Amino acid sequence: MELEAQEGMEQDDLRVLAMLTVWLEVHSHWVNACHRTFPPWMASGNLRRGPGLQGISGHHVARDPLGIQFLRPPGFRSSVTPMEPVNRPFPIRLARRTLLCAATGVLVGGLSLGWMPRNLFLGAGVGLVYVIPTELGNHLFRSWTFQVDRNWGPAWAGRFFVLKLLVVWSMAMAVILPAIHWGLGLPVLGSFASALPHMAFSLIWTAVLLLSETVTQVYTAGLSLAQSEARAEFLALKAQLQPHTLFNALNGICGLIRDDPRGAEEATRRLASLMRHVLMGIEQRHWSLKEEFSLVEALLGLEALRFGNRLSTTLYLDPAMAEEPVPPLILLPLVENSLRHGFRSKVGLCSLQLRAQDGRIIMEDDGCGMSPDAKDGIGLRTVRERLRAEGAGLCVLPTVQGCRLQVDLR
Amino acid sequence: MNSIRFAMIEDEAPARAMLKHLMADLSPQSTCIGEAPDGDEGMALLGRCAPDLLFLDIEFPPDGAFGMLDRARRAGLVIPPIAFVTAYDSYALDAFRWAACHYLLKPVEPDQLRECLGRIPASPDLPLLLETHAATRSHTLPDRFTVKIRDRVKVLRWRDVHSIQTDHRLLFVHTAEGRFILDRTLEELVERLEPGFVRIHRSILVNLAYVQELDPSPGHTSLLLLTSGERLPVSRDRLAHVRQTLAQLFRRIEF
Repeated sequence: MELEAQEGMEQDDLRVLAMLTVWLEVHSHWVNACHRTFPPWMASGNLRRGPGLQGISGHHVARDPLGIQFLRPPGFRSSVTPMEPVNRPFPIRLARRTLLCAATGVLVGGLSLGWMPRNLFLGAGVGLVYVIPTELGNHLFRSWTFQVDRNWGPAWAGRFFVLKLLVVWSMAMAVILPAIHWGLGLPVLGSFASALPHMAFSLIWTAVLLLSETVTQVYTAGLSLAQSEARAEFLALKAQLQPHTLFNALNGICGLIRDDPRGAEEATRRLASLMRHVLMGIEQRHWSLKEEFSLVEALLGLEALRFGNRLSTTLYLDPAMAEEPVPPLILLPLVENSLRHGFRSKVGLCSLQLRAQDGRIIMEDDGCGMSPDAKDGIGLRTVRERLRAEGAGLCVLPTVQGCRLQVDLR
Repeated sequence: MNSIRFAMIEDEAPARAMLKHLMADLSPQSTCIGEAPDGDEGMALLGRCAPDLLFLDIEFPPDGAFGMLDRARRAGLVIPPIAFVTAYDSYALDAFRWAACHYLLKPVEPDQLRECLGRIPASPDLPLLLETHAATRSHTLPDRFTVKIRDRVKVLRWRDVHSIQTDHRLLFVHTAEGRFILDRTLEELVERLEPGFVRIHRSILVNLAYVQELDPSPGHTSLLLLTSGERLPVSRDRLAHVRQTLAQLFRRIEF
């Protein structure tokens, strides 16, 4: 009878331990995730909302999961609120965590074993046994190797420390208990049985640790994917409409206002048309080649101000191809490149031709050309990647003078 | 300021018109003594006249401002004071900041221009500017750079810098002559200066050439002793890196 009661108690202890472990692990992922970006409902006191409006007025300063700051334009929507860690001093953090874990232990002990003083003390004790070495370990071993990657921050050093202690403990139990039994002349086989719960406990703990880490990693990876997509969108916009183009256009308009108010009016309209097309374009996945051509026309109209009568352009769109779907803003960087790099160092007349015919678009200029070993800039690289994603391609054709590019649709 | 004789090299007619209008507004007695739409005519202009101030665009045919200045220097032309005018060119802006050249951003704001006219810049140090531009294009730093001491511009060399430290959000370069404010951030310097410098603290970058001794004291903050006698704290998580860097350095010196 007595033996059975004792075994029953051990079973209960194990139940408490297992439940507590699971709960504390889940909980510590909430509160210790101070290096990650978490949605507000998970923030739980150790995180606060990141810096709001800061830097360029109207831009939101955000951090991606690696901690790199980037600016979001005003009105930029995101599902994630950037959160910042609140760094409390170590004693206060330890006190907070200790209270929390002891309370949790009392709760779990009471709920699972019945509201008896013994069970409450047992629960609180287990909570303390978990939290104190973990937090101490976090504090003492924070310079361990996990520092390399911010996602495996100092919060993990202590947990691995505890894990190591447990593994050593269970190994010791598996070796020492049989040794003692053997020394006392008791049956050795039975001693393995009594070492078994300890080993099972370590195994469960290890499994929980790894599982919860996997869940967190998957969650964080999802976050970073969403963020990097948003960032790519922003960078793509920047790559497709060179700031250079915008400022030069504004400067040109400034210069026209007094001498040629009508010209300035016209230029403002062209700039508005260009901006409208670009903004429409970045919201869509596809649009028709006709729309892409009218975008290029808007750009060329604006550039005609800068180049004056130095620039002659020919645009031809085969009516059969007018409705062909293309990724928006795909030709813009090509034309900008040609204007910026091809004609920059050319004195005298410059001509640019853009023809869409027989399922392909050919752009030709008589600028100073691309050197054969020139690397793609960010603009050309983006175009190439976007076309490849559509199953289309971009190639540079040989030419006597200037540059000749061909886009094969499908 | 009243009777400035200025010239401009700029390939866009509207931009030239706008600058002339602005100049007429701000200083009515000023006269435009020459304008050129490209580098070749620009060279001719520099040979023909010596303006008090030259407005110089960055990108124009055939080789832009830097190419033209290089040719002008080789041809032995006198370089007038220059105010660079640019819409958006990060390399050029970086070079201007390092070489302490005056620049205006397009579209030019009257206040900016007034400030420029109020204190017409000295002729640029051309070798320094060209060297700096070449360096910033290849993402390195030139040997020489400038710091501003009120109105004065002082040229320093990285090899004379003992350490770079931030203090109350300002960046200082420490040299034997004292410390000078640098209008930069430590982060942008770290990667460009890395092989010759080592970061020993979140806010301190040290020139390896001036390191004398590392004093690692267990339990306390380790200190790095410089040949200038200065003692700088080494943060705990950078200690291993500093030690490793120094070990490599001394091995290099031994052989």
